[in-house]
Amino acid sequence: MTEDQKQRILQRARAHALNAKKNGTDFKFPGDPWANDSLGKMMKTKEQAELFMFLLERESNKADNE
Amino acid sequence: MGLNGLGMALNIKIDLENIYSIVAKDGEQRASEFDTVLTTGQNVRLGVKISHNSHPLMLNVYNLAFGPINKDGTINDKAKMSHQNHSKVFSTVLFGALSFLEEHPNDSVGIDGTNNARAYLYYRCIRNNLTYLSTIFKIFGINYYIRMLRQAEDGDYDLDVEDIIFSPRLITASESIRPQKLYNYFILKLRSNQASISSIIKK
Repeated sequence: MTEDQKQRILQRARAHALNAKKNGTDFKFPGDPWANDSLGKMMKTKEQAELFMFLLERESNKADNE
Repeated sequence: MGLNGLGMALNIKIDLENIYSIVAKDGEQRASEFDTVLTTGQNVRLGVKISHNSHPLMLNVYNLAFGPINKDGTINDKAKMSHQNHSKVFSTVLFGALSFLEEHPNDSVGIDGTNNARAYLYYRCIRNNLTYLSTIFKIFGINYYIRMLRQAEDGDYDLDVEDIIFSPRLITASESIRPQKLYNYFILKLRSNQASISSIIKK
């Protein structure tokens, strides 16, 4: 993806977001999406979540430094 | 969302400039819709839903689900559909995620593989388009591991949900992954070098 392409896409995404803010309602799809989410169902303890978020942050920093 | 015609679906080419017309139904872009065309010629409306709440233990991680809309208004993210243009469907869903993350740059969206076939499809889609997608997103694959630290004398494993370890890993072009180690779950985060709409508004 060229820088021009990227900027066009981001610009369109921002326009989409602004349009949503302007014209969106308080509509919600019914149902709890976490109810069937495997990660959500299995992540049960604070310790699991803390380790997960630590590892995710580490990987995210790795991506920033690539 | 399940996909029939898996061979066709495996050759997805993401192009965020070639998407269906997607309509955000709420101001936060947590509910969006677009119309797709099936191989039968039938038009079907798909919903894209990003959870209103982050996971109670994982702040800033939101679930993304998409699929046809049931009569009761819920999204059927397990429906099997054969689209005329799988690439355009996936590109549209990713555009919805991008637009949401632009508005919420500190958040992430999680996509559940739900079963091996779907997890493989998502992984193939990400890997085949990684160079393109990585200019905008950081994409992580997550494995679940079970710690088998305890074993009963009768040979039964004493498994507990607390023994599950979640290991996120940045998906890179150079990685080679065995089928047994296929990711179960995927998380998308915006690359931080982008000026988000929020930061522009704050300025």
